[in-house]
Amino acid sequence: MKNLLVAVIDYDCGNLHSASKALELAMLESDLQGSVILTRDPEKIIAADKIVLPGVGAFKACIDKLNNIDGLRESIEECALKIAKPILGICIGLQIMASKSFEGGEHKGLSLIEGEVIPLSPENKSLKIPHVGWNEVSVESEHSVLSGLHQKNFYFVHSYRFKPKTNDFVLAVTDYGDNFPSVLCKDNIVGAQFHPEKSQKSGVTLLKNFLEWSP
Amino acid sequence: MLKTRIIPCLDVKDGRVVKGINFVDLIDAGDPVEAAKAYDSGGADELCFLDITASYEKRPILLDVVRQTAEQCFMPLTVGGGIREISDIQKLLSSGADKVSINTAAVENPLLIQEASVIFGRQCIVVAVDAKKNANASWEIFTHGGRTPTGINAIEFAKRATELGAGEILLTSMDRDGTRKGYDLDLLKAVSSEVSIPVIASGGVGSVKDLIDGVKKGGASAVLAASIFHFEESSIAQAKEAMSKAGISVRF
Repeated sequence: MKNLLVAVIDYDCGNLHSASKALELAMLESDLQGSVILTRDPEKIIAADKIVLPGVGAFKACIDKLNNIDGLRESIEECALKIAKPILGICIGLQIMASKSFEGGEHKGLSLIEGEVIPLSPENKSLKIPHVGWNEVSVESEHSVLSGLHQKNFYFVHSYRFKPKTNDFVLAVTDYGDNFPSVLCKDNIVGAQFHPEKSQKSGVTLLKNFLEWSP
Repeated sequence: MLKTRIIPCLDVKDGRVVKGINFVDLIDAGDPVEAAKAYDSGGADELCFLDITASYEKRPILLDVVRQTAEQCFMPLTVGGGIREISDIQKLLSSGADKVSINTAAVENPLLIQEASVIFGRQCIVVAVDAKKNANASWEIFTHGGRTPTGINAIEFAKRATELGAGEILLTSMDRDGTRKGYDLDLLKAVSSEVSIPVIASGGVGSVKDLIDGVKKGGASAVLAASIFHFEESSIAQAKEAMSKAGISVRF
């Protein structure tokens, strides 16, 4: 059996070790064999079979860090667009895949999934922002990455949301005052607004589905 | 629908979990790494790790213990104690913390809240408010693990912290801490109704009913407790069962 190489992009934005650790657990629970590496080396990223872009942080700080690491952005774009490898963005890792964000001014993203990142603003003003805690994910469009996960709880912590250019990119939604897209997908690129690496069993299932996914 | 979080809290001193009464008279409650493991499999929604004497002893937090604890957590981990500057936050996050709780430094230098939230995002910055009722029937903030009075009004400070970019308020009643008399519901209600960010109730839980009151009467977004879980008077599952029966939405 071929060894699966998973690259977690190391760009100094938050809980990278949590993502690696949860992916290692997901690998053990799957039938796959392989390894998870934490890297910012463009060559290693291009050589990997799957890419994970994790993250905790503010949009500008994260996109700046990513842009400032030599060759990193180009290697992600090559993997996502030219080689069409499976890529998973998590939380801010999903948001920086957007065309632009309005968090703390207007900032350009990677434009891997066309759309904007806008503030969460539920109509019910008694709802607290940030949206922090466990909330359900309702699958709107069947996808192997979400297999077995309809109505499962995942851990969210965010003040901004992804507004895609088209609803065709929406795989699942979550209700916080109103529905917002919580899992998005465009071809080989998926992104989750919540943190699978912090969502215990459901999170590990999602990561296992991602490792087993061949778009 | 968003679920109400149950958060066991590990108060750590010299690398061991301890539990005190009114912030002193500490007794040993075990190894933090083992406790984290047990709470992860027991269905806790989040874990809080506070190095309670770091600021008082003017030393940095025990990063090794944080790292080993984080290894056992597939749920969010908030870590606090002895955070003085941005580089302390960076170190904690790279040791496996998902959020940091800032107490003494946030009171002494509120602009740290702003600086930290710009860099790490506000969702990552928890401001811990330790409050005690004073003679004027208002609540005063104490720092250095409850040792230093500040003359600062707790409600006003919680509002200021929110404006500066705090993502959550961890609100501890020092009068109730360790007394098992329940949360200070007046304090909780006063703060949760005044700020737009989630408030985590802390200090005084003696039974599962206190958790329910914290949410229904106090308006807390999350409930934190230590003794009732550490000493196995209630399991997380039992607490969730009771909360669910009381009409609170929880995660099973």
